[in-house]
Amino acid sequence: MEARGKKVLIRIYRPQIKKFLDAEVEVTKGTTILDILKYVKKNIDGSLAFRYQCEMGSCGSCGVVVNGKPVLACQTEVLSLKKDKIIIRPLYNFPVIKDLVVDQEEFMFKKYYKIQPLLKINCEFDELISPRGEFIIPPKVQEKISVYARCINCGLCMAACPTVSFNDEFLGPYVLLSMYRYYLDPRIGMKESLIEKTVGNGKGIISCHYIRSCSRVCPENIEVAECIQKLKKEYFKNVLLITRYEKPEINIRKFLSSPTSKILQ
Amino acid sequence: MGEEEVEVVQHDIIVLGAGITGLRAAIEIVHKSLILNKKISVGIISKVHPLRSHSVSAEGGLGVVLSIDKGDSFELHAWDTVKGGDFLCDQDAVEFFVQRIPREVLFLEHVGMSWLRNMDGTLFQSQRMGGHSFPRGVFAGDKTGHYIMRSLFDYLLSIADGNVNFYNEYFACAISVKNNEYRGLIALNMKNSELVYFLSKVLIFATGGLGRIYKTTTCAAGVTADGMAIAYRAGLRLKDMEFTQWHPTGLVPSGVLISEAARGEGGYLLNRHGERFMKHYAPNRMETAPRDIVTRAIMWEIEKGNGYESFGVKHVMLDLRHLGKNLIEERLPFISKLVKKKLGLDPTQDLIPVRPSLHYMMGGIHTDMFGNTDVRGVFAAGEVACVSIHGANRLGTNALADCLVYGGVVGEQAIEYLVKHDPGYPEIDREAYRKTVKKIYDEIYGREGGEYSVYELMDNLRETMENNVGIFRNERDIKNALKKIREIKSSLSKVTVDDKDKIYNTWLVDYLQLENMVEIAELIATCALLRQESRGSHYRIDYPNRDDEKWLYHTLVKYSVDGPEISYSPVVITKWKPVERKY
Repeated sequence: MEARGKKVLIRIYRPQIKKFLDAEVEVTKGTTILDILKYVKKNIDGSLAFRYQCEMGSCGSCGVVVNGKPVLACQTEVLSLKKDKIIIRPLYNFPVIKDLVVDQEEFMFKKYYKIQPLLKINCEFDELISPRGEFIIPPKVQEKISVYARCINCGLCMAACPTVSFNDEFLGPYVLLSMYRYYLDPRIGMKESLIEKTVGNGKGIISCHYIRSCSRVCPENIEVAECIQKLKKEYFKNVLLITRYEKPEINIRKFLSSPTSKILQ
Repeated sequence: MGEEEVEVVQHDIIVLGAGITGLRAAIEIVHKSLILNKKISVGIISKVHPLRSHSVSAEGGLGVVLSIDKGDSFELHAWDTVKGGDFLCDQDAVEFFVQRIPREVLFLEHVGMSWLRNMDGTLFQSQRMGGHSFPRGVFAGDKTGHYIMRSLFDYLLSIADGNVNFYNEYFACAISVKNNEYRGLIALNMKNSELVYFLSKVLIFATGGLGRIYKTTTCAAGVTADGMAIAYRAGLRLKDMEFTQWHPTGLVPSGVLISEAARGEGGYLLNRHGERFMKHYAPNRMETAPRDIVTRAIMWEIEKGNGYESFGVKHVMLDLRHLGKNLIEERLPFISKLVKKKLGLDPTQDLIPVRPSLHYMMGGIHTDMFGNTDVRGVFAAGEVACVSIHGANRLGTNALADCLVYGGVVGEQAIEYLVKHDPGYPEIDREAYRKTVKKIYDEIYGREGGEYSVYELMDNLRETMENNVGIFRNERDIKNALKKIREIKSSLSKVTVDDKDKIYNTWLVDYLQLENMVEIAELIATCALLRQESRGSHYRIDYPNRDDEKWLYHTLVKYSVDGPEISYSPVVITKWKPVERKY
């Protein structure tokens, strides 16, 4: 870390020993929370455990709580926090494995695996394994899906959600967002079943109180809370049988079924 | 742990690595098992959660021939690839490869991929990446890899039906090969540091590249050459290890990737005098010349004193201002956000400081054109493999295509091998397991009072590679590098992991990664020293020309107790004789 920076006190909470690891670190413009964690691991205590990979906000590995707010360590500049004391903790609402490493498998991904929002693709298996062209999807529809598909699976929304904190059954913003993304997609079928899966016994959309913590912490600025509200609306429309789901057509590319196919097989 | 207790996990096929290649391979396996109506169990091992794989960081698009009516053709794509690779590509493989891409793109489209669309709802194809003579790139904003990963992952979950098992955060330590027969893989469960023996009939390597061996890189922290190192130690041959690719535009100072799409969409590179200097190096293609050429052009400009300097780093500027706000927002939103976040700059108004950053490895585990390695039942695909379709320099957008096509190919090959040969499960190699147990628990955990730190040695290695086996290479520097690398290698036995905790010990994992990096760094330097010519990304100041008579060969390297054993094999040439490479 460069000299002539500002000195800040870093306190990293280590739940397994219920103690803070304290360090005074000099930070300059651009220094991120992740830079500090790496600095501490390299120079002060090599046993400090935290996850990180891409260092550019793409992989969603480095979620931590900084001064009470779930953030991505690699995307959080220390000076922008305007504090002399920085407290870093593991993400809320997840069981801790060690230091800042939490178990996202159990409380987030497993719920998602169970739901499987991609229920059926609107074409035959043969078309999937040797496609003749693409589905015709209007750019406006595609853009809308892409916004929600931007989710990087970091789980900050799950860490911020008050309902998740007391209701283990609740699917949570991450899972519901993914369901909404597939609900919007005309390529995906069985929408009635998908929408059915969003409700039930405390786990579903009705348990969301629209506090919007999820939207506020999302590093991709996705309006997660709004998605959940929209799912509620779709649920009631579905119950009242006023939604019709249309399958898109396929734009057939002629050359794909002609000269090259010999070589492909 | 008792010595004879071996924790065994058994699957028909093990896929090592869960990026685009690994997931695509698993999908192909499930597809084929559905067609054959045969139950085949797959285990996917990854040291991170699949959705944290480095594949998600791929920004640019995917080159595909879809517009034959507008003048594109498979032959043209193949030619671009061969010429871009400075004629070191195996041309039969390239022809096969380009023809398989369309169906990968369309398959992804069917399962929900966010490709950008035309107004009429068909796929939008506009990107003209470096070295391509037709704008054949399809893409999803500038986060194409991210969208592909999620589409593959979600689709795989939907068809898995209990036959696909994920082993996330398992670090592969070694594979066992005896008498050219694959016997199994030993991996460390990072959660509790227990060793697990993965017994399978087939192994697929899909572990990706090695960017972190260099100091300035676009690659994620986990890109540490693990697959190559494990394969090499088990006696598999590696190929063309001297060909490491720099991406011309890494953001200053860290080297984070600014996608080639920025230039593909029309961005300029400027020197200190505001001049588009590419006109001196590639007058026809300018900024969209292949990466090796643009990279060297930037470095020459800097050497001539035409560069800028910020953060103590010399660099040039990327100019996107003339593209306009709308285009930047629609097609380059991620890098726009990145530049803003990292440097507080606005690409619609400010110049972006860039310099080359290590990005890709053309070389890797030697395979034939269907992904078969030297060992029966072991396959490799994606960046970890070297077919070779990228030759001495990969074109932008060909990597995602490679991962998808060859992921599919090895999945198919694996099934064919299972069905045709019905190999049955091999016998567990207890000796290999014991050796790994001894290494992890006795040698690494047990070692006390070490002289060196893992992190110092790692920095040292990365610095050495950057300075001595970099963009411009020469004999003296490479020899120096080899000396230093060997010093680091011998220092490894004096490194201690002071954290003796068994739970999520990242210090231990970093040590194991360093071991792999050192092993492979030595091979890069060795091969770079031997190749006395300049071809593609490998540029020797002391041998500045391409020499087809002596060097139109692949370098092969094999493990031996006395150090790397080198041999050469001819390049497959079908249609295109090597010519001078001008852009």
